[in-house]
Amino acid sequence: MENMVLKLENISKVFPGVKALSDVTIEARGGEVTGLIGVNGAGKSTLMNILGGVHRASGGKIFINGEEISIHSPQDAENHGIGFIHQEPITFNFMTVAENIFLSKLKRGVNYRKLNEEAKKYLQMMDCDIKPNMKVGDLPIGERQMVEIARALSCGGKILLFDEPTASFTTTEKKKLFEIIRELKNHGAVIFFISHFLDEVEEISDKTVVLRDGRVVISGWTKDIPRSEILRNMIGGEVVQLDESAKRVFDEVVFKAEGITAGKAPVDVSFQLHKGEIVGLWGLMGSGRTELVQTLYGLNRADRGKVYIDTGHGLKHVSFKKVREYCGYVTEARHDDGLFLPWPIWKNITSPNLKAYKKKPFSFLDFKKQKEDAEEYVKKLNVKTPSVQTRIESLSGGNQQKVIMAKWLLRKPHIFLLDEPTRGVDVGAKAEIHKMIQNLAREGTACLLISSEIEEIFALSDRVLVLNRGRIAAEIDKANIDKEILMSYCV
Amino acid sequence: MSDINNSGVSAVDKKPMHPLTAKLKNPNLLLLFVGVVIIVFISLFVPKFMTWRNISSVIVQASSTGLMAIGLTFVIITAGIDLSLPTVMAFSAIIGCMVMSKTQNELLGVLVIILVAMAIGAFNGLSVAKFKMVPMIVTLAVSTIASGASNWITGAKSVGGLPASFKQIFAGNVLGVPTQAIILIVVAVIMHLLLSKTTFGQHLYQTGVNEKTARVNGVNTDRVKFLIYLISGLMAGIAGVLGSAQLASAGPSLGTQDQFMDIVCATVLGGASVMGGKGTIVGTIIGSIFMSVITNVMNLYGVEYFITFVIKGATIILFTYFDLIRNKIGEVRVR
Repeated sequence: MENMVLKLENISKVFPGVKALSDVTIEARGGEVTGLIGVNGAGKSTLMNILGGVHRASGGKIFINGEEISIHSPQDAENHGIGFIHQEPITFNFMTVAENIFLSKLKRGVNYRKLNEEAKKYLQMMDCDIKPNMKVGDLPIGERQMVEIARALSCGGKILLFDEPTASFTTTEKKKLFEIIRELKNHGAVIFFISHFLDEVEEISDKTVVLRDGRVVISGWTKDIPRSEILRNMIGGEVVQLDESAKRVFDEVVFKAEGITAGKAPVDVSFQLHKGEIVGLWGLMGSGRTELVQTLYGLNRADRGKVYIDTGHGLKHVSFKKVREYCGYVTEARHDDGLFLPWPIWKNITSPNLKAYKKKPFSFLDFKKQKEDAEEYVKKLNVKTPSVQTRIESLSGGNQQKVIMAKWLLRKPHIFLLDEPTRGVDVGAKAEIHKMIQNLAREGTACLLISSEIEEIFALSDRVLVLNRGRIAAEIDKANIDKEILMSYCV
Repeated sequence: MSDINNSGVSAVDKKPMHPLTAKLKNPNLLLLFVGVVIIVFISLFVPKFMTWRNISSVIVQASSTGLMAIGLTFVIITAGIDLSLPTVMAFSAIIGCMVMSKTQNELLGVLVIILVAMAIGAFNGLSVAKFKMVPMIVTLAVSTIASGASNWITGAKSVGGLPASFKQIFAGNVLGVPTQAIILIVVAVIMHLLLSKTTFGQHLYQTGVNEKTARVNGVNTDRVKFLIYLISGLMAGIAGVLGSAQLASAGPSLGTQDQFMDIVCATVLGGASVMGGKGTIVGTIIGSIFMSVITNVMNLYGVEYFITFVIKGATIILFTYFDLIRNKIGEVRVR
């Protein structure tokens, strides 16, 4: 294969109200992996969407081997041999693996034997033994990603765009993916690899391009750019250090769970939270972390168990339905159950707090006050938005998460339940959210923090509860928190 | 996607919406505009239209559709549907009128009409909220039961022999204004305030836009769902009172499944979305008046009854399409 050169010249993209990309110039060669890194909203995905034909560039040119090409649709992209592997595999679960791979080429009267053979060819290129006649819905998510890659390869596979492909991967799946990428690289493909995770980019890419606010801020050979340099350029300032708080004493119990049981998980869970304490809830996927929180919050029906909350007059038994009134709850999947996507920011912020805006004499809601409060919190939490009237769905992940924080902070909860509060959030926003949680605890709120990131648990928790198969397997003090110890209780 | 070539626009500048686009985005204004054009047009060509008698008959017609459309608006905002509205209206009116004709007590009769309708609404609500049944199926079944029961009880005839005062009170007029219109306006104002100004109203919209988020916010979505079907029943009951008073009798033909088309037309024309989360009482009322104007004009023209359905169906398709275009204009797509 001749050595391909893909050149993007002065690419820009304007969305209403936002300039997503400005003058991005990147040159990528066959046999190289270009790592594209940047915080959420930096423009990585927009750039890839332009190459993949999902969006059209507002300006700039694209060249392959010196020849200018235009991409108006995903079909165009495919015709130029550009394969796009999405963050979440986009597959048709009721169709077979082979059908998914050749989706755009399916015609009436398909010869299925031939189709399956062809599919097998591409799957074997990746050392993958998925049967082409299996339904995609029956495959684990990692293997679905393989199907996506095979699909990209079937389009010629000269230029491959990996948009955060590892988001839903296990470690073994990730390893395999990297092997595949290296293999493809050796075949002379132009490869773009997008990720939040610095160590992934460092591991796989030959060149690194850092994007910030739609511009290329630094680019070059990966081995020549030190990690601190990349980090600094990503967030455009100094890295915010989490402050290691001095040892504080927690003696006032404000929340007590007793024998909480709901089906498979949680099972007989009892624990206490103290005033001003951050308690980490650690466990592997499927250990029942989210289920426990949902049961405490009254969203899942509890079979057994009681909750006690101190609302100012000592610990009192509170029914599961009433627990909500004293809690803030940042959910795991904000698009699913954290936001009203078509609504403006201010409505989202005040949505759980309407009671506070009742006006006499008819208990009508004070919309003006709602907007004022929302504006105050948008400023306080540094949410980047043109106004509080902006629809929440047009914000980046980090800013959406800040809005969710705002909506619960406004309620001034006694107890704060946080389920993966920084998932899919960029480095800058993450530090800010950590700060918010710490400040809240300092003011006396008891926080229960779920996180898959062990560093986050380390940095924030005063105490860690380890959950294993729905039960509390261990309770570890701050002084004794250690990666190996945590893992030893999980498995 | 008209925004694509404006690469000169600076990043933070918020592009102001074109004033016409902004107006078009308000469904009520569009509907009002179309309505006024049609009415002016009609009054030029159909001299009978602009008579006081005809106008009040339009209003009377709009009141029954309007009340039920208000009920449906509540339901549709939470992404539900209540197909049983017209038949429940007829059924409850029949039961109430039977009581009224026996006792000659109009107040007792009215009370029975409303309570029966609300009881059926409560049944719908319980089925949907508590037992998680699909609203379309439950209310369709209830509608069939109500319609069947109405015909069965009455032998497909009307129940008459009502006290004369019943018609005088509920189908009379105050200073020349039909009572029905007054009742419609009062109910509409109360329901408008309830929906747009109270916590309960906001909980409705929250439930419709994203039920899971609403639950996390602490909204008792089951209670909300129960209550909206109860309100829907109440509206069917009030419509039943007005309908039977107008005719001074009540029979199965008072409310048939055919009428549901008018109700859903009024609601959708008024800006409600079957997907939930959208809809206003003001819009629904304008939609109801619009619907009864169309029906009335077709009557005046002597359009055959069945053809009116064809036209109404076409109207709703046209408006749904309009709605799509309207949403496309100024649609913001940012990732």
